[in-house]
Amino acid sequence: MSESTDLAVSLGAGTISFEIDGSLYPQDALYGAAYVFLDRCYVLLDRVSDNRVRVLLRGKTKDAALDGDALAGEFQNELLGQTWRRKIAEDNRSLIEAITARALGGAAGPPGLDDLLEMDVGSETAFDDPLGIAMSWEEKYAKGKSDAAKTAKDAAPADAAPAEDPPEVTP
Amino acid sequence: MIEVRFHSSLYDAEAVTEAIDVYADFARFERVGGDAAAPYIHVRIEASADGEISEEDVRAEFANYALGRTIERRDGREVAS
Amino acid sequence: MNVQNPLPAFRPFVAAGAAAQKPLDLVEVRYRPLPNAGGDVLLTNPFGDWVFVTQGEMSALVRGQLDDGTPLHQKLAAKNFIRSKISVETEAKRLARKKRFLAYGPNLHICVVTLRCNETCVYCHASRADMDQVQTDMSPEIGEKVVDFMLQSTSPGVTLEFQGGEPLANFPVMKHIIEYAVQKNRAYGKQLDFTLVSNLGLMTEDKLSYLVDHKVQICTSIDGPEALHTKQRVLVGGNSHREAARWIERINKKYIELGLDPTLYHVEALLTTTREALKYPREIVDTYRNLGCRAIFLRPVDPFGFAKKTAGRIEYDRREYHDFYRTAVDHILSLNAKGEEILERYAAIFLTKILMDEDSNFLDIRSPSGSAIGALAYNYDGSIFSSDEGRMIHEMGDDFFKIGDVRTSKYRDVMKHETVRALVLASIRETQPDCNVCTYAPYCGIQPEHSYRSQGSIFGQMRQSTLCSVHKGIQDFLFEKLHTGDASTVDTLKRWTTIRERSHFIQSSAAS
Repeated sequence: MSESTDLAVSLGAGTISFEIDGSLYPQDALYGAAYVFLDRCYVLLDRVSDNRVRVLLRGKTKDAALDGDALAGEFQNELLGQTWRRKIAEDNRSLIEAITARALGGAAGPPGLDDLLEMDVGSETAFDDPLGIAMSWEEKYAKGKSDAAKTAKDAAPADAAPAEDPPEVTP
Repeated sequence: MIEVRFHSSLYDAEAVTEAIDVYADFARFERVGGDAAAPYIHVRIEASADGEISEEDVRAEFANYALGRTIERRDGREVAS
Repeated sequence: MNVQNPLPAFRPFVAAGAAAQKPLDLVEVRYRPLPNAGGDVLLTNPFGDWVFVTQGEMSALVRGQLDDGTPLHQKLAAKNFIRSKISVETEAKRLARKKRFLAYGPNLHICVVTLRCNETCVYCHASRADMDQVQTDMSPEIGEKVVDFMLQSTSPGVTLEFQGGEPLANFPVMKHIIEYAVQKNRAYGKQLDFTLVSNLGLMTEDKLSYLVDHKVQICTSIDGPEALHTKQRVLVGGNSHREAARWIERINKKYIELGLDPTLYHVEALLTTTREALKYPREIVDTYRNLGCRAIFLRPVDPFGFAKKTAGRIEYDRREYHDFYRTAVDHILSLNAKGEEILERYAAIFLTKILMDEDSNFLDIRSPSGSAIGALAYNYDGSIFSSDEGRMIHEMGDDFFKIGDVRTSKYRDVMKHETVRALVLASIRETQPDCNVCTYAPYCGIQPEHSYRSQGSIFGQMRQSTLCSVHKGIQDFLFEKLHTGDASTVDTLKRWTTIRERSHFIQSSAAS
């Protein structure tokens, strides 16, 4: 194990617990690494102190390939790799944005006359969100959860125009 | 009955709520304590009486789902909620 | 359990430890040590360029070592991986070309003219009805409204695809729709063509003559050798495989009689890879060859349409699918090496992006996906869905993907429907967890309906998605083939990317 991961403790077959120094890694990288393991492992994160996070990994199967030390090593490599890649991505953000803006900026084209006539922008409506674009889709269409759907409906702006084709909510 | 706790600096409370909804068919879930400022979200889990899935298995799957959803929400899937 | 493919244990970041640092002039990269590439690591960038580096080179990059003038620097510069050598203008043009499908509305319009079907298939229960259920037939009036709606699309070309059930069970309405569409399109001047997806069990000489005369492209389903096909697709009072085979031969002969090139014009057949099919990779390929098919699409079974009680019988671990795919495509490649031209469609879709820097606009493997903005599905009763898979989910009792009705909806309202917006957001791979760091993101795509059906959310969790596993497995296989550098194999793979338009099937239309 490297200097940044310590206290690796095997808790039994296919299970390992270790702490990482949270000040060394962006939380996004920690999440990115954890996400990679969700198919094979049960992953639990816990905060030990302001700067330390405990990671508990348990293999979903008793597969020999899922031994604890291997898991910890792989997790750490993923964590470091995600950190490295994110730093490079940050350096390139403006380049990617410039290319994307130039490539796709004109695809939608300017609004037509119909669009402009349909707009009703005033000081009271300028920041409304009648289509619920700013809401999470799961909130609006919570599958089979009528309560959640009701909550989403209640949360919609009071003066939002009803949609012509109202969303279907499965009971 | 078993318990699992999620540190609020690492887990999204909405994601935990979603996980409870998703796994409600397999066990009874109860949030313990209601202090929004508390660093932990505690959840008690009591498996269904039919015993088809163990409490430990439900806890593990439930916690994984909560973490996955936390990451997904953070990565911008939920548009400016 | 559907876990991702195991990758070789290569841990350059752990080895570098505190010495790890970013190279200063490297573009954003994603990396993947492939299972069978001699230890080499595949690098891709967001523009779709790719290059293999050795483990030593990767370790140098991890340590930030990328000095100008070194062989590694030259190698990466030649493939667009050095930021200071990137032209914003050039890359913007490349991206615009590959994403040009975003400039138009849906071009594929799936019209379910009936749910009635003469066959019973193990993987299709929810979206079919028995032959006496005539109330599931589309009426001529609804058919006309489907055409009217389709022609509103901003796409300059539209394909109307007849599906079912078995479309031939409602042939009179199909004919009416075809004639109405041709007549109506005279005012629009769109590039219009028709496709029929049929099991051919209800085909007759009269129907065939009509379809050929009206330039309707015909596709069918072949599940493999006769024993497998008939086991999975039961035709009451008949043999589903023999019927399909007989008509494939007849139709192909008809095309030849018309003077059409048989290498381009022949019945296309689709495979549904069930658990049973996994045992017969070579036999399935040979069945297609013997039927005169020159393309085979090794699609895994979808989670749509089949009842839960049969899922266990036909579903499988995706690792088994990977083995099946590799064996089948290796067999196809060996046939090509002997001079026989036959391709695998999944591979062709990915290779077009990987090798040709193009996007063939296959709706289920693009980012964002073609759900609604690339395709629409119209049910027999006029309801509109974001895709045929969304329609199947409706038939299973869930209206998530219903986005309108041809009798009442306006085209713009459907395109601006909040479900459509959500589907677009959910299928932009570059912003999804895991996909945003995936080496294959520049070439990949996931249909959100699949994630919804299999994982309960249109966003899905790719690490546990069966479709993600399939896509990664196929791209691993293709990059391993490219890594070998074997001239014959690489030539074959390049040939698969050639797109030949079947112009015969385009309806003539004079805009008035």
